[in-house]
Amino acid sequence: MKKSLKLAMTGSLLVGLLAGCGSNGETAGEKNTTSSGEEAAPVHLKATVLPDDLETFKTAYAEFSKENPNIEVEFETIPQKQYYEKLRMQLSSGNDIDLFGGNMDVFLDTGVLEPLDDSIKNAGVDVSGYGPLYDSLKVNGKVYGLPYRKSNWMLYYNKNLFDQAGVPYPSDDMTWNEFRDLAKKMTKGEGVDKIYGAFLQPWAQTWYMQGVQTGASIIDKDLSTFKAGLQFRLDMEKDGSMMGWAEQITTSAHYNSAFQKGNVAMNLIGDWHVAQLRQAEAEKKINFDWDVVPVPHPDGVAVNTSLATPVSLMVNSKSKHKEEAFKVIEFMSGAKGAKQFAAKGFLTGYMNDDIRKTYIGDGSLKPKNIHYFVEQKEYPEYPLLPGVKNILVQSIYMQEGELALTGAETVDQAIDKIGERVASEWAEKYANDYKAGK
Amino acid sequence: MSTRIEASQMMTIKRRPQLGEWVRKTVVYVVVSVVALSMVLPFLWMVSASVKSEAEIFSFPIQWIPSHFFWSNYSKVWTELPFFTYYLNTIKIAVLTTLLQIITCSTAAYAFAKVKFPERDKLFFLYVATMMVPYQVMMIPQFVLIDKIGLIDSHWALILLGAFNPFGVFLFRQFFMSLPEELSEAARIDGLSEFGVYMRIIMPLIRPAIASLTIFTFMHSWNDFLGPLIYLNSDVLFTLQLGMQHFQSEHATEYGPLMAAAVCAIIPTILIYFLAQDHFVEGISAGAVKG
Amino acid sequence: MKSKALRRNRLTGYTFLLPNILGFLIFICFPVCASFLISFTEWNGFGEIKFAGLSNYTRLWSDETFRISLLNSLIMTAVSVPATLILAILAAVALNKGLKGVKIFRTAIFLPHITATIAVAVVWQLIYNPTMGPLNGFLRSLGIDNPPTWLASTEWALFSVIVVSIWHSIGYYMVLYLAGLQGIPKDLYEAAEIDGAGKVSQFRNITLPMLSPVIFFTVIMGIINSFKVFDLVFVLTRGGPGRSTHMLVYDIYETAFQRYEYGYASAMAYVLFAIILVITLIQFRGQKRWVNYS
Repeated sequence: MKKSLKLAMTGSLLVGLLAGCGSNGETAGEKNTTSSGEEAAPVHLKATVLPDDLETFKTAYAEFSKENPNIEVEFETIPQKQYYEKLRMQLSSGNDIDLFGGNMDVFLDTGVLEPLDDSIKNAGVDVSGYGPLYDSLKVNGKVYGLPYRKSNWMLYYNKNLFDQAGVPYPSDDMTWNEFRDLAKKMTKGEGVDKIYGAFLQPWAQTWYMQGVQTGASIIDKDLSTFKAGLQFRLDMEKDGSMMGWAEQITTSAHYNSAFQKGNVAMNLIGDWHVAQLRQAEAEKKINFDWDVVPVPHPDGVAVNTSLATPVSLMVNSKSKHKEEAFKVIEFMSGAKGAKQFAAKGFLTGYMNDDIRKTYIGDGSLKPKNIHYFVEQKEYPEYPLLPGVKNILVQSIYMQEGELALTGAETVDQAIDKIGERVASEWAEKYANDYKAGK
Repeated sequence: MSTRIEASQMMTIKRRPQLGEWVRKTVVYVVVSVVALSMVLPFLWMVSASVKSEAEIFSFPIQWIPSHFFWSNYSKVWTELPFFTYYLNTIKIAVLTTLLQIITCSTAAYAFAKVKFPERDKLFFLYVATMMVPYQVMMIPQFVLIDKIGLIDSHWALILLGAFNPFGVFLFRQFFMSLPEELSEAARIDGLSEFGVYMRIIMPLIRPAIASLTIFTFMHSWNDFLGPLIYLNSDVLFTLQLGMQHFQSEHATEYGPLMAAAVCAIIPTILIYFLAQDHFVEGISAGAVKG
Repeated sequence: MKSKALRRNRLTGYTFLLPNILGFLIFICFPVCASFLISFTEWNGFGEIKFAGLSNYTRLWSDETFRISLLNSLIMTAVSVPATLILAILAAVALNKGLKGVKIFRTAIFLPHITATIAVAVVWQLIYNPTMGPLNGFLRSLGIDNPPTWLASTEWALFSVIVVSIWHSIGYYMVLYLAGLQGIPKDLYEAAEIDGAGKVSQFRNITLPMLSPVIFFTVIMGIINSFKVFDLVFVLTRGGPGRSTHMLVYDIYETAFQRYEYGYASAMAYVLFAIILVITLIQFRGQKRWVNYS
């Protein structure tokens, strides 16, 4: 009797301690308010951003602080691998982070995202620069963050291999079937010296992309549009024009090293590959010429239709300085910040002619046809809804897709299973939390 | 029951010619060498990858000797990162954790193995039981706790969390249990205090166990990634494993420099292992004299 | 009289325990208890912790991924622990003395443990490579035309991963056995030698019993560690193909840090805890029969 009482008391103590971490932020923030009473004292903000973007944020901040001398921002980062894990832990323990960057889907269930609609309206932000991305980032009709950059997809090709084969370069308007034929044409040789027509990274996106290009979403109730993409990958493997899935997995094949090695004619991957190839060139690790064309498209879909994954800046709703934090976001993801990011080779969420020009550069750097990147029509890679963690839906696609790729299941079975799992592991649980179209 | 077997074995010993012994040894050597080679291969791959270009690292079949040596991977590690600071931080954490663990775990194990009190075995089982809980679910409560104590962004968070690992207590307890009770009884009769028994009689006898716990704790602390990641925020406090993450970005990993950093980081652990394993041989001969 | 001795012993015991048990209760035991309580709640790390009763536990019954990964982890442990421990004892006995270059061999066997996991994965992927790997090359030379694709096959992946994990942990347990072997007085062997006992009978009648406290330790630690294998399997197969090498700790990790359902993840962890606990309790009960404490 006494024992169980003790146990219960310790128990409530433990839970209390854990729950207490939520309220911690207020005490931590308090000293800021008292100290910033005077007008002259600058407001100090803390921002956590992805490691890749830290330098650019610091450069852009130099410009920002000229305009806003009374806002100080301290930028911090967390190693990429566990960025979201740690950031969420810090946010939940009441750490005084005012704003942070990353994929928004990770934070939708936390309640720490401050709705920005009012601030956007009051500041008169011109949202047309974000294009359709702006609306696709809305969650239940509200804006919780602004995209300062995004990644999307492109087809890279090795010019030397096409020259050697005497085959014309890939066209900027290819259907997936034309791409398949071209890859077949470019495939040559056997074993170690084999030249592959194409390389598709063993990620699920490289096949479900075809469905998304038609406007479908990976959490739709009816996923039959995605069958074509998975079947396509199997067909390509059967053609022998690309490394098979099993082969890729068992040789740690990776799009970057595979393409740099020089025996892959066409590589389907994201915009970030540009930076990797430029770096390899600067370090003299590759010695062939390369360029880009838009990703192939399904029949009846517009040329240069791609998938985009936005990376956003968000305000912590527990912050004591939301107004100032929004100012930073407005600047960084707006025209001025975007220009800095474009200059570093990032695709930005905000676009105008000036930024486009900055991104394309003066032509001294490859790829020659980099302009395709800023002319794309985009669909979001995954829908933003509370409870949808992209990484989880991805792993369902990956796991069940693999069963089709190893021959353990048919394409139909795999897609059916994906539908089943998406429903049971996500939709049934969260259906009440969101207003969805489909 | 065993007399017949022993007799027949005696016969075989007497009959066994020199040649048989030689064959046996050769077979052992060949088997051990093949196994050892398979164990060394990944390490060699690491070394070779550390001087390769990205394209060559994953080229297949593996090209063990690179066509071109990119020593720049190493200079990148030492110039782009405060690698020396990372080294010092890692050494500090690993050494202090190991020391604390050896001291606190051996006294606790002494209580569990050599002192008799009623709730002893239950307490001990509690120690063992906590090891069965996966770290992933302890992480959040531990983080909240460390946050409350105010040790976030401090090396002490890692040292304290590592110092009381039940693993060490369990390990020492098993070794203490295998020591004959007469040894400590005799010492007690000679007038040695309980602490004297622990310090002068028991500890010297379990040097091999101390050596193995040193190896495990040091390695574990040295290679820990998750702990430093969670508790350290400032770059100047980073450990090697955490600092190396610099070469891992959103879409790609620079494997060349990463492997160069890993090779640099592994060397002290090999040294520790080499030094510690000497004690596997010396332990009992020193103890046997006293016993 | 008796109670006085008891009190003194208790005092001595707790004095020796004190430095460790303080830290243990605060840094280990507290988080463990907290996670147990969390397993009865619904919590994503933010906001209020909702009490959920046993719902996390009942939900596990219909969770397919949990079922698959629990089964995988059970198979992994059942196969790899005995195999690893037997091989490690043999390695320790072989490398205890006698061979020239023992130190180098010992270091070699421990190397996988400190080598970067990615390096281990790449080399094993090479060995297992279906078309160009030495393993299938060997099988084909034996006349097997259609050898398995190992890591890329839903049927063979788990087996392949288990082999690597055995290979990987031999060195770890060998270190413990080597330490244990030092504690065996040499005169025991000398006496046996005089009695004419052969090597095998010496191993059975002296080495194994004398090593039993360490073996007991390694059996328990082996089971605990095997259920916790994470990195190695992850870089080898990422749990695939499909979910064929998905382990229970991934599932816990994914649930806690990708799905952010801490309560549910904790419930999974405590199912695992219960399984290991039962196995360990049986071991502790049974130890009197085979573990030889002096």
